Amino acid sequence: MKFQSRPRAELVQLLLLGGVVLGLPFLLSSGAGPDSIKPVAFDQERYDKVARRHPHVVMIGNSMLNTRVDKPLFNELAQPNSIGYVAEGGTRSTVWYFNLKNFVVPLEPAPKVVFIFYRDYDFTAPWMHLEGDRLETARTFMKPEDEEVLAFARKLGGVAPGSSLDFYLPEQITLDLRRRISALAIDIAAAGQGKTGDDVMQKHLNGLFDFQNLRSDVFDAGAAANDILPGESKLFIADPGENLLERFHTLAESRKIQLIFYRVKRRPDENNEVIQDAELRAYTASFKAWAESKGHVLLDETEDPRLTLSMYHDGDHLGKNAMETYTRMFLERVKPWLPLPPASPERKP
Amino acid sequence: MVFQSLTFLQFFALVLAFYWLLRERRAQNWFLLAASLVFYGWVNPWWVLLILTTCVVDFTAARFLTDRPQQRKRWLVLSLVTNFAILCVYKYFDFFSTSVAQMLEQFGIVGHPFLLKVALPAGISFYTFQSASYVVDVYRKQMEARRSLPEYILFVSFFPHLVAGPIQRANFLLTQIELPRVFDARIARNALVLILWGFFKKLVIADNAAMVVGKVFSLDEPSFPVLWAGVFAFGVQIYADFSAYTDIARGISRLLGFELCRNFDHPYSAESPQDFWRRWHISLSNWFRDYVYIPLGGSRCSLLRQCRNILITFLLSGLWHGAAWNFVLWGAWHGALLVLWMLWDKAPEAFRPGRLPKPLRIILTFILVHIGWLMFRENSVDHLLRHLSLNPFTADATQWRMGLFFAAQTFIYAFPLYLHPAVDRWLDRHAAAQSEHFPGWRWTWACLGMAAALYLGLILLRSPSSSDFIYFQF
Repeated sequence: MKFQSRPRAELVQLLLLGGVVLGLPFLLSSGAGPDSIKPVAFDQERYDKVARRHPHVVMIGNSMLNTRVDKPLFNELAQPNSIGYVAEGGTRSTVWYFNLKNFVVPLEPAPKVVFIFYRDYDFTAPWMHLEGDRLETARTFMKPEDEEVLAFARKLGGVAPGSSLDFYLPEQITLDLRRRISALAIDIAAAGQGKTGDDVMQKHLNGLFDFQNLRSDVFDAGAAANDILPGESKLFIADPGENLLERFHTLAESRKIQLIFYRVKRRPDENNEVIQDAELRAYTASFKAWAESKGHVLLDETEDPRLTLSMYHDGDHLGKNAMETYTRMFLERVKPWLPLPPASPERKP
Repeated sequence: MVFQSLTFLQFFALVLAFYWLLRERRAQNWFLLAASLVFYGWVNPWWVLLILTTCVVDFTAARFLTDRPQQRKRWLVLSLVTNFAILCVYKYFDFFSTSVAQMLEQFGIVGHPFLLKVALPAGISFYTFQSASYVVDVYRKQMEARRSLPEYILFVSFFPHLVAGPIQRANFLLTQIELPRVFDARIARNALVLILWGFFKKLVIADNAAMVVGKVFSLDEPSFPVLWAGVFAFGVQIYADFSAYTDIARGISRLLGFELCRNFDHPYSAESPQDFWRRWHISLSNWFRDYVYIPLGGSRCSLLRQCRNILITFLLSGLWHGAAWNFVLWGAWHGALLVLWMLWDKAPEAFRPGRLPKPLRIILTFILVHIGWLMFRENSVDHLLRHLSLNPFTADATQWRMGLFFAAQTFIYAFPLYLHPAVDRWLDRHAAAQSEHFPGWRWTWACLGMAAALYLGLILLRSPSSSDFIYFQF
């Protein structure tokens, strides 16, 4: 190595700079990532609420469930079955596992059937939505012993506790800063509108990006909410080292619960069809075969032509007006799997 | 392999360490050549064959140009035809085929266009132009044909600038490859700050602006203020994105003992379209000036011919950017701007643009350049025409407020970008006079502070989603 002759101090300066570049992450790491310092805060009240219903059937999911099934209506239509719900927006398969483990399995008597609403690849990507605010939400469904499962799921996504990624991604500070910047921009834009200006602005912004206002040639509704990164494996694998599917089965089997993996129809195109590539079709077929081999069921509403684009509000969420129709359709589809036959035929709206 | 990936960080750390362990220049060059080919072939190993073909053809053509003076033109033509044939096949064939089919359709002849559907090799426009310029320089006897093929291939494929420039001239980079390098701690220190600034521009400014741009350009019928706020955000995005690549490339090169030419000089401070092109993508502007505009006659001809030369140069420049009509339109727009501004400059003294106050000239140029960015960004001609015909008077107060929101959000993230010219001017006045690389402890602390601030900014403000550098597609 040939050096340009410089005062020795300048090499020290370079080392100092290198120290800043390389050392800052380590400095941040000493405080540990904000993700790993939050204690588990199990939501006992929520569990009690579910337990009080003594449900025959429990439904687990996220906004796919919340924006599809009209709960009071379904409770009424499905009688004498009692239905429990553990649905939280933004959650994914790891949280659903905690839902099953901590909200369903301990119930006495154990429910006969558990529906889990999911989209495409949710079950083979257990690391999704386990960061920042979502991690806090996840902890409300966790018991202290679940930390191991959480660490396992996060590690699959490349985030191990205490790893460099934890301190490269202090998400809560980042999210907070981003919110502040957005709020400042709204304040600037809403200047002179008084105290309610911000709310009015936010409402208009939401309206502006309503799906009806988006272009079909640039907006790929599927890609926007798919959460699958390009290049990521789309093979269905139920290996315990790859995801939590085997754990789901073990838990369910321990209480003789039948799991029904309910694949929702994602936002269709103008012809009311969902474009599925060959990989996704093969994935779903493999998933179905695995579920059936374990005594569970996979129901897929993707090909249902009755679910039309007009029923959707934003992304894969259904509009409020479509929930009643959907709930009746849903009952019709799942009736064979309800432990008790519904007492009365569903009334027409 | 992209700069903002862990793979590249590991790759570069290894390259840097081994490179400086090698004492001999030739060994260093061989090592850098191997590293560059690995870098380029990382995504698609076949691309390496393509770049090697270009290099071998141009290197051989330049040799024969010198060795067989009676066949000079023949070898020049062979080189240029090979270069541009490769470029045409990979970049333009499908575009022209589709365009011809669409044109025939207008006359009632319906047929399916024949499409090659081949993936565009990354950086093909950059390295083709760089290699072609070498042959032309040899033909013009502005430099001698080289005898070492590996060094020539390294000149073309040198990994820091291979994918998105700056386009280097042989008399600048090749001569550095032929000289021994020394490791200078002072230069390395500045290189690190430059790299961090590049990453800040890409991950914080460009990627955050991209989120606004993505939202606005996904709207079917944006109102006038919302659309133009999106265009403003795109102006921020493309400048931060492209200049970030250049800065990282220059920083990496400096760590390896090379200097790459500047590609940007605060383009949004430009006072005229001419001035903008002296500050924006300087290496490409210079290339077109030297190899297209001047051979066409440049400005040493009649006014009419000069206007024609400008328009041809910018149409080609637009086409260089992408095989799509919006890029052609963008080139035509800039050509027209330059012609009109030049004609305005020839008006009676009292009406010339120079009579306008400087801030007004900057604002006017800024607006004109951003109209061009709309053409650059919007690749649907139908939407483009609709956007350009939007009426500002039909937008209500809410729409204006939403436009202001997007512009304010972009501006907050881009603030360091707008502050940069002032910082550079201050540095020029106070520091550059001492040395280009700022010696002394005072500057060390300044560099350290800046590096720490950039690093914190990167960690805390980086966009949740990052995309490829925009110029990778060209």
